[in-house]
Amino acid sequence: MDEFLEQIEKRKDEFYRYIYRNVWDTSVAEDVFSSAVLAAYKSKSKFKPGTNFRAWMYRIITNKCFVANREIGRRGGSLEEAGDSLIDLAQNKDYTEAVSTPEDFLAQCGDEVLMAMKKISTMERSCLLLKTMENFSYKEIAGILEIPFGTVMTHLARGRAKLRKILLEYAVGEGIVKPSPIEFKNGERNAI
Amino acid sequence: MKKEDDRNWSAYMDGELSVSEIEEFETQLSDAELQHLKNEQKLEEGIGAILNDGPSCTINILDCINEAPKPKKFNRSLTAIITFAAAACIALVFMYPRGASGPKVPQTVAELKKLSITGNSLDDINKYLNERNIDLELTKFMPEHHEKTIIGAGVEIIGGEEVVTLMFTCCGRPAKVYVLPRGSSAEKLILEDDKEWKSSIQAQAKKGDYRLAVSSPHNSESLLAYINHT
Repeated sequence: MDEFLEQIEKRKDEFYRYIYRNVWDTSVAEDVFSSAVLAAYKSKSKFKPGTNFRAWMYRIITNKCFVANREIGRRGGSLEEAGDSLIDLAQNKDYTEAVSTPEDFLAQCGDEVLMAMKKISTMERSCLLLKTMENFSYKEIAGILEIPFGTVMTHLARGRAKLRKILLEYAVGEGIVKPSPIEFKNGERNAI
Repeated sequence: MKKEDDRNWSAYMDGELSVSEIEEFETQLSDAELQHLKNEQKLEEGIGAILNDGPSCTINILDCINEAPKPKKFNRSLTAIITFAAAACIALVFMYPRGASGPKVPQTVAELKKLSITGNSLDDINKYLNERNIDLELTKFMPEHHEKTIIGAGVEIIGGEEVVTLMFTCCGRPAKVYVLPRGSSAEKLILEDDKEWKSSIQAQAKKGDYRLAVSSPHNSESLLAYINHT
């Protein structure tokens, strides 16, 4: 096995997990992984030694994920459908109380975290996975996805807000979070 | 705070603001909001850990770069050897029939779907178990990281006995749970007597009058917790 393939071999679990979390289907993930490795191998002469191999691979992998998601018709919500913002959620008493013990909240939400990831748009999901799972910087994410820096910020903020809103709705629905009672003040409904 | 600050809120969590931006941003926050941001950062770390707890890659890298194999030309003697070997294998299979009763770790979800004779909801499975007088009940998934779906349930003949099999996916990989009546010959065969069967079982647990045995190419032990959960 040559040095190039050895580098892929070393990180293959990490690459595969990212793909799986992006396309959510084992057979699609395996196809994407195989075609990404083949594409990388064929264009290995384009990789400049000394530059970031990991980011270079993620660029190829992410493109393949986009194609796969387009083929299976999964795009998730669009930016126009963005729900509450992170700032709105920070003002929501139910939400702030729920995440005051983040570990407990996540344990109670269980698999819903994964389900929620499926519901956000492909671009938001890719940004979130590259940041939260793979710990890339915004600049690196912008390079991998070939989008402006500011757009990465927008996708991350909106993706996070949607994800949290979905979890909050789940937690309320399951009785994990008890919604604050509603009081009427000056003729308006206010959560207390 | 203004809604437009949403991107900064997110960037602050990720440590992507400059020192002057951080100072400016923090002056807008109340103590409660600062505390909430810390909680959000912990939440994000937790989400990262859940996402990272995914399946491993079982693909051979070398297989990915090999183009489709070209048809090979066999010489006559090689063809004769292969034909003889194939005939010998077929003869062995007929001499020692194992039929559907041999151990087989499921490899595809389609394989499980073929075996399933029920619907794929909790109610369908519970109704099926109830109809067969099996005192087990599946309840809602326990919170844990391995994502699961129900495929259905069916029956397999093992050791000459009908054994109810529950079928799932765990992280997208197929998984079977055999519901073995305790003290039955199927239980003895699978968990004690037959080496092949034993090696195909990943985990087992007692549940009332039954022993549950999991078989999957993926680590799906948590299915036992799911079925044992009440």
